[in-house]
Amino acid sequence: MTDAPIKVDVWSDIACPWCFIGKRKFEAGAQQSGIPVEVEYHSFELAPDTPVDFDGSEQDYLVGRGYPADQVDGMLSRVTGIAETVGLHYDYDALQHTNTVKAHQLVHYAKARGRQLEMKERLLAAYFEEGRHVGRDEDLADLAAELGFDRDDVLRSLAEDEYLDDVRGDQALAQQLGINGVPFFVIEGKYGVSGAQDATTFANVLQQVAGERESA
Amino acid sequence: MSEQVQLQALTIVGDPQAEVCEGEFCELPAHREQGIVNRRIDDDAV
Repeated sequence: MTDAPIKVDVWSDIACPWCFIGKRKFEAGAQQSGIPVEVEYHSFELAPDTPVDFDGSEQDYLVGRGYPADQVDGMLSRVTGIAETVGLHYDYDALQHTNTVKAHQLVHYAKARGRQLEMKERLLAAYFEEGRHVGRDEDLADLAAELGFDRDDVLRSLAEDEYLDDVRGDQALAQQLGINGVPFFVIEGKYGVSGAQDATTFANVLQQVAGERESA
Repeated sequence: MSEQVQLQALTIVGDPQAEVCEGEFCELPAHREQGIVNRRIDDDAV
């Protein structure tokens, strides 16, 4: 038996409504289980061909990509409603659709400094709740500075694509693990949990892993 | 990248219909189910 926290590797994107909702549900499940966890986030780009700048709403973007307007409106409305149930206030009217590869690099920048979880949370809230742009270096540096990071050093890192290889490494590992959608949780390198599951599901799998440790 | 993530077959647990994003359009489970039904109809038609 070990008292070490259970390792949870999470693949997710910033521009992923279920990832933020799933994050909240996982956090609730971990709290419900009472089992300590160590969470590490990994990069996953849902739409790497997305432009950095898009002049229009999320609805405009998706309709422009060929999705039926009524289906898009229905999806966004339901996602917003479900987000509210976990305490998140999505604002699709203010949301600025963008490419997330730089945001992923910023998460790795923060991870190298032991503050990955803070940065991940800040970026998700900025994107879904605050209508902040999370695709441009200057905007990302502003967000990082709000957390106390050195703005100039963040700009340098993003300009140099300092952590691009780490982003690509995460994506390659996702491919090797057969991860096609996010959020995707890997518990103790053994169990895979796909999607924004109920908190109880996360609590159950954590308890199962803890039980297996006990009997090992 | 986590060194603790081993490249082994994962045991998938949880609700297979849980909400997930695949690509830029994050479908709801009901839509995925309908998509599966549609594909089955197409397969049967073939």
